[in-house]
Amino acid sequence: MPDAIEAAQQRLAHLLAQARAEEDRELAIAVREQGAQVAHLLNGLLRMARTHALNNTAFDDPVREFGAALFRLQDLLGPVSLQCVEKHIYVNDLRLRFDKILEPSISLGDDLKKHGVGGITFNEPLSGDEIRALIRLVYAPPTSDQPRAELLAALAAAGMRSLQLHPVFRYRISGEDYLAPSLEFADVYRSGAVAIATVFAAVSAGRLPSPLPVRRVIQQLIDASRGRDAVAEAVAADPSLPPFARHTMMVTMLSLLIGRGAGLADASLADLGVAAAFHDLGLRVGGPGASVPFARHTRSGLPVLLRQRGFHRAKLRRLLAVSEHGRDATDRGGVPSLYARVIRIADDYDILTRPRAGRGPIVSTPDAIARMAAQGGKAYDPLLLQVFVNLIGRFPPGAVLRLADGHVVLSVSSVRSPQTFAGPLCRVLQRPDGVAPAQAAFLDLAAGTAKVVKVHLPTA
Amino acid sequence: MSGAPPPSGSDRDDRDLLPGQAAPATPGAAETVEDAIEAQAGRSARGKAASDALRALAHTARSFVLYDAGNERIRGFLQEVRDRVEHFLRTYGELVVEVRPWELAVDGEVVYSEPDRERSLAFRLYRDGVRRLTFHPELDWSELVTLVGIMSIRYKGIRTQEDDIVTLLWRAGFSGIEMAAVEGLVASEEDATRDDTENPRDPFGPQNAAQAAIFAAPYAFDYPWPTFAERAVVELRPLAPGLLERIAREDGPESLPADCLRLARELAAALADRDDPLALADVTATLREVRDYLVGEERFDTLVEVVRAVAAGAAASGARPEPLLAACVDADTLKRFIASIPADVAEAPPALLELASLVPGDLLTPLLDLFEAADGRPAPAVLQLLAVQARGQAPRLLGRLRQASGPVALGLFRLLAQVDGAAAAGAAAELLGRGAADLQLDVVAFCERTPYGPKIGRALVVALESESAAVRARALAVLVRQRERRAFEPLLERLKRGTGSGFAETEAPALGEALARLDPERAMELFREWAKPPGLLGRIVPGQTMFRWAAASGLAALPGPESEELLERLARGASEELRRHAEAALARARRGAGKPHA
Repeated sequence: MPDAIEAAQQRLAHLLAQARAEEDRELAIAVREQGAQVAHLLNGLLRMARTHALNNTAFDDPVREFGAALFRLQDLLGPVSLQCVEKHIYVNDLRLRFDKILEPSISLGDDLKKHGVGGITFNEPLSGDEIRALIRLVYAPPTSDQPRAELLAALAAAGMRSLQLHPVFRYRISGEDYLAPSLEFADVYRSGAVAIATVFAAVSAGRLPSPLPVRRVIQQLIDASRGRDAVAEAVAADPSLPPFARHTMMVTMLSLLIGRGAGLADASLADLGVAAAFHDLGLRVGGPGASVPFARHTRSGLPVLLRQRGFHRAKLRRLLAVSEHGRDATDRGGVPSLYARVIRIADDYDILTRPRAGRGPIVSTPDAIARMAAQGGKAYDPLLLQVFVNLIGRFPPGAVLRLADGHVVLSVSSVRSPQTFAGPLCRVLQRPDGVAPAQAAFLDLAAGTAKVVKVHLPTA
Repeated sequence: MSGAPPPSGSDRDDRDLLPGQAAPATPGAAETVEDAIEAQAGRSARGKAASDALRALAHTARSFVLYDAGNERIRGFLQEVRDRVEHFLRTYGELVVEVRPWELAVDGEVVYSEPDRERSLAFRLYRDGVRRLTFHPELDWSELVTLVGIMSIRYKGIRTQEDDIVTLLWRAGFSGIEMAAVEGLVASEEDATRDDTENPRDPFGPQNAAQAAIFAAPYAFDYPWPTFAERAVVELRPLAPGLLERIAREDGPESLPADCLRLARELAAALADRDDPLALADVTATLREVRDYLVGEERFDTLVEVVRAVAAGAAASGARPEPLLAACVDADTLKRFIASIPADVAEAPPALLELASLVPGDLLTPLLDLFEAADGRPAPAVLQLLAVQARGQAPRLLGRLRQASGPVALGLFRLLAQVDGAAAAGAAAELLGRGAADLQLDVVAFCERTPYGPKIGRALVVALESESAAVRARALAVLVRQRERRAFEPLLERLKRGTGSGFAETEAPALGEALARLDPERAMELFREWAKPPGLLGRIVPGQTMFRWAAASGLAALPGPESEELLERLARGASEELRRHAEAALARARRGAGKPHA
């Protein structure tokens, strides 16, 4: 029997071995090496500009090399973001390490800072002429009190609209707002659109999307949704999202709801959430305008996702979820993985209930849940489906209900307690006299004797 | 947590130090000179205790760069972390650490300072956005170990696509440690102010051009919907905790091997997909990761299923199976498998044999390496695998055998004999000419049980030259039994050359008898010669005496009047020992059945 310290040593050995297995060493090395080359060449070009005219042939080789190095890095990462933070330089969040002898000669941060610039994002490759123009403009001293705007305009005039300039960065200092669970759920939910856009942009360009920004949002979402009616809040926040992110975010939120209801730990919930956020990546392959048939979307995302190196349980289960979430629970090929079964329920529910252009949803939320309930043990895992049903209730958020007393109401809550399973909190849309209330009015269907006599199908 | 009370913070250095001020390098106080820089900070007793705890934490996490987790020094460091953190929490209660770029502070008092960013715990936390860590008094040892692990991952420079330090800390789900974090970077204040006035940035809008393209792209939600016409009553059905246990199990680490298999099947099927075929390189890279995981967890049973699935997928898709199988199982996999088999298991597990049969490429070399590493006495599983892998590989085995000695050579010869008797017979003469006695005995034993032929005969003749009397005797017995006439001359030569202590008594009679049995006529001629009374020289020269010993035994094997006469002659003019030997031989000859020498 090992003692406590020995057991700790064994655990730490396992932990480190596991982390090593999860690492994508090749990518990190490639980014560091090629990123250092890009930064070093840009730095060198700016230093050369101090002593040479830009039409000097001495620039030819380094300009060509910089263009080529930048192209290679873009091929690997997509947009390349070079950020100078205090004394460090980062390429897409990976800090570069320079030779200690070389380090004092790196003045890139200072050269950019005089323009109020802390970083540049290169969205597209640059031609030799463009590189020379970039060096000329960055080298030239600013003439206005808004140097960054001035430089940005000059770059645009030189045909480099794809370049983005970022302000001077510093590390956040202590005392600033922490990302604490006190964050408003709606804000976290909306911020998911940015993470989703990053993922979609990467996949559209045929690159591997990083799960890390999504994971951070999902973790915030898990914290922010704790103890709240997250489904109702997500439904309420849905219209504020850009359309491309609505389905993805809702499926993510519903998956988290089911996962939490099924008793998954937070760490697993985060993995499930990232998987849900990635579930339709296959539809994005090939970029805007490209069309992947829906029936093939589960498989078409695999080639992109497989490029992530390193064994990680989250990656493994994400791959399965993306690949299997379209299958029935009774699929002849075998029962789909847990995350796939969860996402399948969330996905179908949102597909059935999400409003479509020019018309409302396919079915109302109560009808959707009733139809899905009939598929327990067929299309869906019956246990997970019951978890979902128990949480979302008979009249899930978004249901438009006519009550026996003549009220027309909108369900704005999911199940708050077992007693409210068929009695959600509702916002009054129309009073019995047929008039909409002047101010927001609510009816708690669990509190009174209100009886639902009809479920309306919402229209566009 | 428990543990011995730690020495007070002042044990290392009683002086109050300013942040960054070097502490004296007292023996045992620091690992290296550089450690002295990470000096104890904190002026108050509480600050010093916090400093001790945090420096121990930093030092321990960093030490994984140098040492393996099992190292004795790590043990000491862990004990120190445990003692010092526990001491603080027990004495002062909650430890709230504010993270600054180069420092850690408790209630504004700097308790940790390290200017070297590569070594600084503060910088590593700060860089990833951690701004406050709170250690609660109820913090247990297990959580502290996890924290050390997370820190050490960062110190070792391990960077995964999936996690950073903030997500790792969050994922750990600590109950005794709280973390507050920010996004790592922010626009500088003066700049941000101006920026905001000029062009307020929407935190929920696109942050760059690539995102903007996604935000701006036209989008229509046109997903096909599930056409379920049937409806069921929607009811609340409480779920017993036991029911949810199935979900928990499926989500637990114990189900990861099954997920690996599921993914392997998925990839194998996708290889055959005509619309979206996967690139072989992507599949093989993922399979290698799966393999490494399963091997690390010693889930070889699942690995076999993975290999089967991949082989089936390759067959269905028409893909070349070799690169796929090579990704699933390699020589290292088998080595790990073999190492995992308990020593008392005599049979190789079927999974191992199946995996070995599916490994493309050379397995013999690594197996022979294992064989040699075990000094020729490897696990039974290795022998079983070798027996399969060495078939048709006699030249390679022989190559190794020629380089080997001792038990390795012995084992290799046995293996060779097992897999290719003809090759072993061919090599027998060579081995009998140079090997050690135990190997030679084994080779002779092999010769004994192998159908007799020229190669075996030649080898046994060579064995007559062995330095080992046991080898020579055994080889001789076989040769005689086989009536190998070609051995006559070498035997004679051997007899002529035979000198040295004990030769006459042990071997000369045997050689004489062998000569008689191999070629009675030629032997009789020799015996006649040797039985003549020795001259003066013959009495003193040992070789002459040996001939007479040999003749006595040989004549006993050739019963007849002449033999009896010659034996009587031998007995007459001999030494006491030889006389007794000759008389015994005579008695045997008279009985008409000269029994072979023992």
